Amino acid sequence: MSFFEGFQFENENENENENENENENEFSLFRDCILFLIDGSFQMLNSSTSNIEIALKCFLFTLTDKIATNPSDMTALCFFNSKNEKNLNGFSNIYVLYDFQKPSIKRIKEVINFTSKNTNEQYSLQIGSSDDNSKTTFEQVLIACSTLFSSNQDANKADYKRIFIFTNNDSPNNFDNQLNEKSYEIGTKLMNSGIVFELFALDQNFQLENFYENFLFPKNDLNLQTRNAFVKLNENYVEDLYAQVRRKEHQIKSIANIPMKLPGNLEISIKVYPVIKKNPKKNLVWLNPNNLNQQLEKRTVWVSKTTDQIHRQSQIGQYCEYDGTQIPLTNDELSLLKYYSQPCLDIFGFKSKNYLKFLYNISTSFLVYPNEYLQEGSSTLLSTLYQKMIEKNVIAIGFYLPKEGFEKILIALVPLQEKKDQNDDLILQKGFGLIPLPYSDDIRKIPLKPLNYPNQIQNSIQNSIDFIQKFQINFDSWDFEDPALQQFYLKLHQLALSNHFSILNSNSNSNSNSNSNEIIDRIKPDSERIGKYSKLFSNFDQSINECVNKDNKEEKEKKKKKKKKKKKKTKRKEKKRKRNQKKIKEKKIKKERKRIYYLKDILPIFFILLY
Amino acid sequence: MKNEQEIILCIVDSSQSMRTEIEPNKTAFDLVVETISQIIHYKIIFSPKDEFGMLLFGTEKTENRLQQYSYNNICEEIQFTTPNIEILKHIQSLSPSFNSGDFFDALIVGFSWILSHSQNKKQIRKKILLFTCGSDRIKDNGLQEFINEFKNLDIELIVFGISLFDENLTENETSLLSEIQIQNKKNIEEICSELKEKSRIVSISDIPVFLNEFKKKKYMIRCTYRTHLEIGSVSYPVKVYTKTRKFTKPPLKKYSLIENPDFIPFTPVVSKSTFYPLGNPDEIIEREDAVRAYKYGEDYVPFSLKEEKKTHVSSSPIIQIIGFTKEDEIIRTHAISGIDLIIPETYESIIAISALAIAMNQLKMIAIARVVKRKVQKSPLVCFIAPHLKKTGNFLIYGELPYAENLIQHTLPQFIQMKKFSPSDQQLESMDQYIDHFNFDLNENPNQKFKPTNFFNPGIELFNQILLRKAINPEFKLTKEFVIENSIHGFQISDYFFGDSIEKTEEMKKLFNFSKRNLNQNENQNENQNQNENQNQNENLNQNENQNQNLNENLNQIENEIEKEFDKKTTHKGKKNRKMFNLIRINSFKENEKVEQQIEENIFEQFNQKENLQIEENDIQNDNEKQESLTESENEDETDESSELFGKII
Repeated sequence: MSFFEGFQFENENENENENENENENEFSLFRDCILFLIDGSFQMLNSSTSNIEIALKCFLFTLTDKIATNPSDMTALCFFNSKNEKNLNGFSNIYVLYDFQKPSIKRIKEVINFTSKNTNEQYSLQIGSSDDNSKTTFEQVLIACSTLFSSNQDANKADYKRIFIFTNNDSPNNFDNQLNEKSYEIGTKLMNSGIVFELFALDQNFQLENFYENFLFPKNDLNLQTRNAFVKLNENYVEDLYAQVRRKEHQIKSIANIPMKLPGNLEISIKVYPVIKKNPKKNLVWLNPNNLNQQLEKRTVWVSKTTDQIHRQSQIGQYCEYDGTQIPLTNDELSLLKYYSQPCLDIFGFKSKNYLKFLYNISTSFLVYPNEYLQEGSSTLLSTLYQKMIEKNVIAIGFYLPKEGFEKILIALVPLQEKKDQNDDLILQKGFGLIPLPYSDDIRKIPLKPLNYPNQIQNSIQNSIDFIQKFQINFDSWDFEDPALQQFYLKLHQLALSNHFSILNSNSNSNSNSNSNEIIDRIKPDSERIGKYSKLFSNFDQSINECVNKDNKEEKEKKKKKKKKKKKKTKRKEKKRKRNQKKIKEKKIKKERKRIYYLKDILPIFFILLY
Repeated sequence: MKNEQEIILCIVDSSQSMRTEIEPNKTAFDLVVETISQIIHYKIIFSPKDEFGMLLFGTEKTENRLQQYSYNNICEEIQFTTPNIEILKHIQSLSPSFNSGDFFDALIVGFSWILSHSQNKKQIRKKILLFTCGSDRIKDNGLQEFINEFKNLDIELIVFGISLFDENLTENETSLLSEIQIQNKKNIEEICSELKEKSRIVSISDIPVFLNEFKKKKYMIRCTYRTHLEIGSVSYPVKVYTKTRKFTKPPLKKYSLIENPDFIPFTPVVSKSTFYPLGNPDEIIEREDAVRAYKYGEDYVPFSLKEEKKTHVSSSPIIQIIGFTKEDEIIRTHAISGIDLIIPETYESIIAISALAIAMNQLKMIAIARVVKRKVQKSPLVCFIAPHLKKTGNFLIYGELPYAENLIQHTLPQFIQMKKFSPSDQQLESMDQYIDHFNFDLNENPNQKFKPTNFFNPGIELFNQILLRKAINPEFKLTKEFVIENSIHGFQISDYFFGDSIEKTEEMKKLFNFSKRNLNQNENQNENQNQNENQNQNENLNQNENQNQNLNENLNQIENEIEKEFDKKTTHKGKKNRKMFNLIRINSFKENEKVEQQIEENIFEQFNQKENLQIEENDIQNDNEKQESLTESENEDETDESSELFGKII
């Protein structure tokens, strides 16, 4: 369910399980088998940093990488020009140290032990180099390799068969033309059976012309020329190897095989592929607490909340709450809902490319590829459509339904232009992208009050233009690795290999980032660069402050005026108040006086009356 | 930033004139009931806090607050409440009377009602929906006074003139409307033109578009988090809001069909998961006891949740700009999430963000940023930040980008560069015309522009309609017809686009030479090829030709039958293709392009051939037996067998 979240009306759990299984199969289907063929002659031991050690470390690195990412891939290790012999063919001077096997903790620990201390000594003790006189012919080596592949059934059936040759000898047959011819013959036979050779030269003066050019890249065969590879290992050999090991690209299965309907009853056939895999983390398992080597199976049952009675799938109904009441929906009805239309990509028109704003994004995208096998003419039509859509700068709009029972997606079909990275390697092929657009339900309305802008932000715009131009990066998603995920794998290695991990770590600390104890978070901003352009940023900040200050000044002046007005008002009010108070006082006094007058007037009369 | 509450008052004409049929078996009143129940339905789902009331005019009884002033035949049918199922059911039971009705009187009553109801409520939106066919004479004295008073108040008036505003008459045609109706139409238009923005007229054909207004969920608008936008060495406080996220249909819950299935509320059913060791299903191990682990090669490594949480990156929420890059550098298919909106919080950040947005827009640049949303988050996100210039202000939006681990590198053969598939000039020219013909920008309906905001999720729409039917009538049973009818609901391409297309496509079909294959046919063709090869060796060409002719004739007959089953089998083909795919790899060793092209074409052919390889191998044996005589009946058997074989391969 990682690629799209659709309707799951029926048997939700079953569907989920199915999909999980599919995801697992997706990658394990393509098994990669690598045979490390290492030259074990004296020359390999001579140089200052032992070449054997480098080759073995490469093997170790491959093992640790494979165990984490593709545990079903297989590896084997074979020395030639060795003193001792151990192989099925009974050839002398060929020593098969490891048969084809899936990577395991045990093997990794063994290799770590081999490489941790005095590799040369250990090598000469256990295997040893042959004398110069009794060198094996390269032809025999190749035959031994092919028997190694054919002796293991799984390896023989593997989808990618590769032989990594590590040597510093550029003419294994000592310039003997007859032997060379024989080697070429067997080499091409092996290559035709699907085996790919990748040569790692451990000598900087390695001459490809002496033997290997004709061997790896025969002039007659275009196909082979492109398949085999040659790498000169430098100081940072692990990275070179990393690129080479990862050359086995995961061929992802198509997620939909559907017709594409263009407006006006034009129909072709296409396949749809995912672009993003959302959860690259490995699947979690649960173990028996009594026996840590036993994996547990999960069993989910549906239980009534009141009585704890177990229910079968047919004894469960579904309902939906609507205004507080429960509305039941029968399984038949739900299954009817699934089939409201046939799976297809239904295009209904074209639009200018400007329409496709970044705002209209909702989830992960897909790739569209013609299915010439089902319908001839599909590729030609798509290729014409591509040319014209690029020329006219348009995109196509339509509905996409990957499978029955899924949700219809509003999409834009976008022609993608070819993209290359700095090393001129292809990042993006020409083709069609399928970008889901949001429905009206998905776009949220955020009622915003209009913002008040100061009049003069021209200065700060200019400043921001300055630093934007300076602060540019070459962006490529392949450069950014998830720091948390890297940390997780590091921890996993650590837990699995316990004591051996520290040795592995110290061995390869100098050479690779992936094994060092702390993961470099590459998405943190570059502090050096920021320091370099700090002036530009501070200018920007200043210009904003100026703007704010200006506004503040204006505001202050306004406020002052307001204050003055207020003061005036308050003064007036006070005056009024005082006047009023005076008036009131006067009135009171008058009243009192009146009373007094009144009394004065009345009293004599009163007295008179008394008299 | 608050969503306002809304009060809706429906004023409905229930006079005799509403009994006229608009469509077969559908009176005008039926249509009104349908629209109102849709409105209530959307209110229940999307904004259950709004209030709803209903006023009928032209009724036999009189029951309203102004009845002492001789406002007769007007009835307050539904008092203001929040929308619920009972109202829905009540509306279905209404029927028009045999009286006549005065919509102007009803408007005055409704007007006073809604005012008195909303007296003590602040920040509230008021809407009056008037449904009428206006075929009765009205007392229009005091019209101008009414309009003047209405102008000063904050109420929106929406008039549904049923069959009043649907006529598009040319000069010579005479109107079907009666004189009174024409007079009423003029009156309504006069009211609406005076009220300007506060009023609208909706005709019958506009009703589906009008209903779209009610379909949107009202979210609590809350900022998801507050943080700082860090640009180099300076930072500004901002708020972040969610802009686009997937909206899902209402969730389905499970209940027991054994325990009181007819009694509501249902007894809920919950999932309970336990573990058992492989090969021993009787032993039960509780979830709390089981040990959490990851697979490491063939071995298992216990990994507790506590330890896994330690690998998460923790820092306070922040948006840090790593750098800027050109807009084209971002591969559009690499935007993987919904979009969030960055809104400035202080006066300084308003200036900073608007300056940045304008500058980015001018240079056509986009910022790459590291975003931490929460204090404890699995991993920081890599995001792009793009300018979002609006009338209300200049903002920034951001969306997630993938990590290297998330990306899938595709190594499909590049069909666009292949000579085999390069188009002829004629094909290019016809495609040129074809795209222009179907370009929305060139032939767009000016009234209804093509925007995502005009599209509603058809799946959710269908589901909601079923809920409505079930709520009104619990015995409603879903049929296939209903599903098909409603799955196009609210969406018609013809609304957005007009033009005939048949000529263009016929031309295209001829040019591109489409030939649709299906798998069974193809297998037969392969058999043909195999036969050809074998028989060439035996020099039995004549027989072979006859057989081929027979085969082709038969194939056409069989084809039709197979086509019916075609759709079922397409899903299997995917699996088959996949197995073949892994043999192809793209060159990483490049010297010159021509060679490259040739190789790719070779690979492509190989790939197509190999897809059939397995079938061929299996079929060769059968072929030899069938070579000599191939009758029609056998032919049919053959296809059956090959499909069986096909099943086995899978």
